[in-house]
Amino acid sequence: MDAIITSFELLGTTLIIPMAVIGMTWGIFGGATPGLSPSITMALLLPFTYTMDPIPALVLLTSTYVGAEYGGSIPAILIRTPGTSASAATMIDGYEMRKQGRAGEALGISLQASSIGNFVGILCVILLTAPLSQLALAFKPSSYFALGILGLSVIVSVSEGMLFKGIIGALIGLMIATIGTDPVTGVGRFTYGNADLLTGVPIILVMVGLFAVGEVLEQVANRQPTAHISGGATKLKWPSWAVQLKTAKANLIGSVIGIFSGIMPGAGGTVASFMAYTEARRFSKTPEEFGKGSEEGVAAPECANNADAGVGLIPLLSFGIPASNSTAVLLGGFLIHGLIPGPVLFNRDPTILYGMFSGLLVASLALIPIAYMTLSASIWLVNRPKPYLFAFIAALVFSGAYSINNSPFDLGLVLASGILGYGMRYFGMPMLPTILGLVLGYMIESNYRRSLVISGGDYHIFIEDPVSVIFLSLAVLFLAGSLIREFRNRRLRPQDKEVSA
Amino acid sequence: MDRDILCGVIAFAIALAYLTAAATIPETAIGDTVGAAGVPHLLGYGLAIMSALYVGQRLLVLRAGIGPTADEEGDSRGVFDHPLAAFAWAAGAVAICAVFIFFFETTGYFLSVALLIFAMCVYQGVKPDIRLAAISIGGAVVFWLIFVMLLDVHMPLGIWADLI
Repeated sequence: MDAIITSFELLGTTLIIPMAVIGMTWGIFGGATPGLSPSITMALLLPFTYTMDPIPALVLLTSTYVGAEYGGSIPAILIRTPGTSASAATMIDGYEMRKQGRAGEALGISLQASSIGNFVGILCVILLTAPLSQLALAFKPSSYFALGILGLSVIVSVSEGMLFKGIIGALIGLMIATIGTDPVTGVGRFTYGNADLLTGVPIILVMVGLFAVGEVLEQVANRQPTAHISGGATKLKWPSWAVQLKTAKANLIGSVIGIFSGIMPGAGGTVASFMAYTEARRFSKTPEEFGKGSEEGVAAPECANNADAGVGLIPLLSFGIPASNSTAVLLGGFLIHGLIPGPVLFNRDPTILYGMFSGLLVASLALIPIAYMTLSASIWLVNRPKPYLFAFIAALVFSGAYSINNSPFDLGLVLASGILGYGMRYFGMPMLPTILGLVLGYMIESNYRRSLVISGGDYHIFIEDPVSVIFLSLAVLFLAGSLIREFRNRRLRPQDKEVSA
Repeated sequence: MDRDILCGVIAFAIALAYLTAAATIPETAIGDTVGAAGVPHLLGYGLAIMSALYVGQRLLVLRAGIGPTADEEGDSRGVFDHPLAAFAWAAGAVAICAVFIFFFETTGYFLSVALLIFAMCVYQGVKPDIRLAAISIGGAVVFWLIFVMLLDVHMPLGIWADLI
């Protein structure tokens, strides 16, 4: 409760409200643009936040994150193209409603469900982050090492069906993290006399390159014409009381599934939204309407993916472990200001997190009016020819990257990361393992070696520390469970084929 | 070559190159038991083993004709149906960006950004006319206002420095 009160007290300070509104607006536009995921939309803002104070910068990024989750439903409903992968489930009934001439109603239901999911998720973040981060106060270097390994074990669940590629991606991320000065001896590694590399490869630039430049290259290479939204005059219609009553259960199901999915590392909004869709149909009084324009079919997935997005912030803010691409970019926002999310930040400078919480609350409340005001602009923006969009994104990315250190070397680094991102897209490699490797690499290596320095090279230190044992056991359990599921799925697949044949 | 096997082969090559580079990391007298090269060696060997295993697994799958093929693994690869053409188009965009970076400080921020927008649009099929030129210049003005005037970033003036 104290956290909520402190968050409200900060509202009048440090540009929180304007940044929440700007972030929300930018997020809706980004989410509404097919091809721009929430993480790319956030990554484009990263360089701007460099010159800002930490609180407005983090509010801007988190509000963008929240806005993009809603924005993704606009093209899903209007042109059957989900703006974000999490809005794919919304598309099923949303587009059916649009075909029946109920696009405005579908957008209204989606907006209401998003607001509910958002609010529930943010409330969980505010209430749970502080107690969880207190647990981490007892951490030693061995605990942080084990936490890093636990964080890396997320790759098995985000790489379902392509486990090898996920591990290869994570190893590449870890390798990039070794570039720079060695954390224990101070020896330069892979720097080849280049002073720009002594402090390591800036994570922010790699993220911007992987997400934004990689996407630009993919879209430029894609010569297919994109779908066009007809109906620029579509008006958002707030759901009537009858519809609100009808969708209440779906919203409740979506909220609960979103919370659990957000806590589970690597599950993600897409899984949450499809699960919510299935469960809402199971508990619906009118399951036969699903797939034919059901209001509940729009509400449940939207509510779930927005709740999931909020709750997904908890692992990052409590332990410094990002569980999704978007939270990895948000971590970049922290690192730009020399902040490392987790227990130390919570105890040393809680104002920053409370400021962020208040921004999230504002963003949650501002979602409804901003969604009304920006719908026509979103449709206009989505209909702009793609060549202009990607040319401007390229210009924005390079301008932002240069503004960080005023170094052309950084521009080359962003382009190189973009080429890597394009290659990963070509090979169908998930991006998050590489980002996790990059982000957690330094933490894992430095704490692993510090632990061994403390123990005089005795590896028992990792099993004498109870926190380390818990984390390592969880990582092993998590890995084993995912591996068993992976091999079971692979074994079942040929039989499935026979059945379907 | 199968796309996944190619992925494994490239990863293996990266591992070898990384291990070769890791071998040049100097050891110091004050080093810990692991050493500055310890973790890089671990990662290099890890990647080499994983990529070799992956190639082996893919070869087995292809030979036995069982298990998921690359396209069944849920990858949305519509863009890459014609990989050589896609690579060529992406390479062109990379070349435009590389030229932009190379001349960025010489031509100055404003002109570089205007030319980048213009070139990227033309490359994607937009007709190079006066309208596009106006959009490119307008875009550069907006970026100049945001970064230089609003955010106070010192962008390079390049050859225009003497004229202003």
